[in-house]
Amino acid sequence: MKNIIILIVILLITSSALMPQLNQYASGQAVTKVVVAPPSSPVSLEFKQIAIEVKVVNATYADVMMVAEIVNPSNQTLKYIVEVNAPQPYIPYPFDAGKTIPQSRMEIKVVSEKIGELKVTVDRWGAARATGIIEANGEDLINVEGWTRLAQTSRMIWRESIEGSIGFSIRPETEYVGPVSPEKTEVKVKFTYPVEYTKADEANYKVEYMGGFKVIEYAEEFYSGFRLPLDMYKPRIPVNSLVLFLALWVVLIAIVVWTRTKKVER
Amino acid sequence: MVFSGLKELFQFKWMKISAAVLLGGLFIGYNLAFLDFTWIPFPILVPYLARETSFGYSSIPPLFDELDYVKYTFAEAVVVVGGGVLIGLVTVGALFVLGLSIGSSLPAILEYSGASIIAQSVIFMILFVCSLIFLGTSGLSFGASILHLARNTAWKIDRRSYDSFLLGLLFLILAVVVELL
Repeated sequence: MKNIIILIVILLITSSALMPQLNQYASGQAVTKVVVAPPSSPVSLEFKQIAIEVKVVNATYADVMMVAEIVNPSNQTLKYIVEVNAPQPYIPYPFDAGKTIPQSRMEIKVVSEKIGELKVTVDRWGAARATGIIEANGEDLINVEGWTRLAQTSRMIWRESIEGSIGFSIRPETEYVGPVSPEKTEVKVKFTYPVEYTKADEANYKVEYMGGFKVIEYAEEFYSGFRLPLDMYKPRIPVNSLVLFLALWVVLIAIVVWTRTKKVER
Repeated sequence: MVFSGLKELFQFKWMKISAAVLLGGLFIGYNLAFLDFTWIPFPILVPYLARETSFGYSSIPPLFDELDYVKYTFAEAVVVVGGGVLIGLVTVGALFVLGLSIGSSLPAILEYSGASIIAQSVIFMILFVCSLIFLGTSGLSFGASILHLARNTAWKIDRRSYDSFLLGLLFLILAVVVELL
């Protein structure tokens, strides 16, 4: 009991000794004020509606399409970038690297309802980019249409797969100003691919069949951009390696039978 | 004389053991890769063959050139023949792992490469396998000699060990030439 009383007394003395300092902090006399500038509001686009359609025609080719209705809610004219990214192919090192990177792996046409067709540039990594302008408080309808090459990025013996993703993006041409809450919109996706392929997550969707193609439709969230995963596969018969496989087993069985017969004769 | 020498060499027990270990590894590697068991990146141990099969292996060093191919091929031959000093244990391990590597590289080459690459890879593979078998024979024989020395305090090495070493070296040079073509 005595100890507790001593402890309380010490605490009271300590707290009264600290009081002036705490009051200083509270009144702000001893503390340097840091003035934080209000964050500049990042200019952003709003999307009224977005629809993406990708049709995988075969293992190496896909048609792509995007329709986006964009709004500029700010009071200033806004430059924006429309971008489509092709799936990255595997580049063998080192000797064939130059041969296997094609000059152009996609062709995209971007048309703005207000300003007409936009100039598109495709870089060596397969990113097609177009820049447009939308007036203050204005609206525009962007149409993207074209094709892209596809690439197989892993080599399974019994499976042929198409991997990677196609990226779509419409964003303001401004510098990154820090984390901002991105505008999100629902994007309607229509994905068509040959019936012989199976999409990795096919079971999650309602699949419709249309003239040799499977069609799935779903909605996703569009944060100024969207990556459509392609991952799908189909079975294959490995003819060349099957021949060697059978030859190896025939030789093995022949050796076993021959050895066994020889031992029996003895 | 040459043929009788070769005949003697083929009857050398270490030659049979060396060939059995390497070809056994090759058989297992080929079968596993053919059945799509590619979770162990064995092909990268023989980068000349792996250049066509390296899909999906993130652990592969990004750049290989002709000098790297020669360096790897030579280093593997050195391990096989030099592994004899540890009474042949390293030689046996290296032979088996290299057999696995060669075998697991083959299916993807046969399935996805062009005719010229297939031809070049198969010729390289045959020369490299011959080289490894002969150098393995030499290494194992050398290992046996060391064991013999430890037991009997007398150095004894079969003359066929030298023949197999020279033949292995010849096949190794030929394999390197194919790599550089």
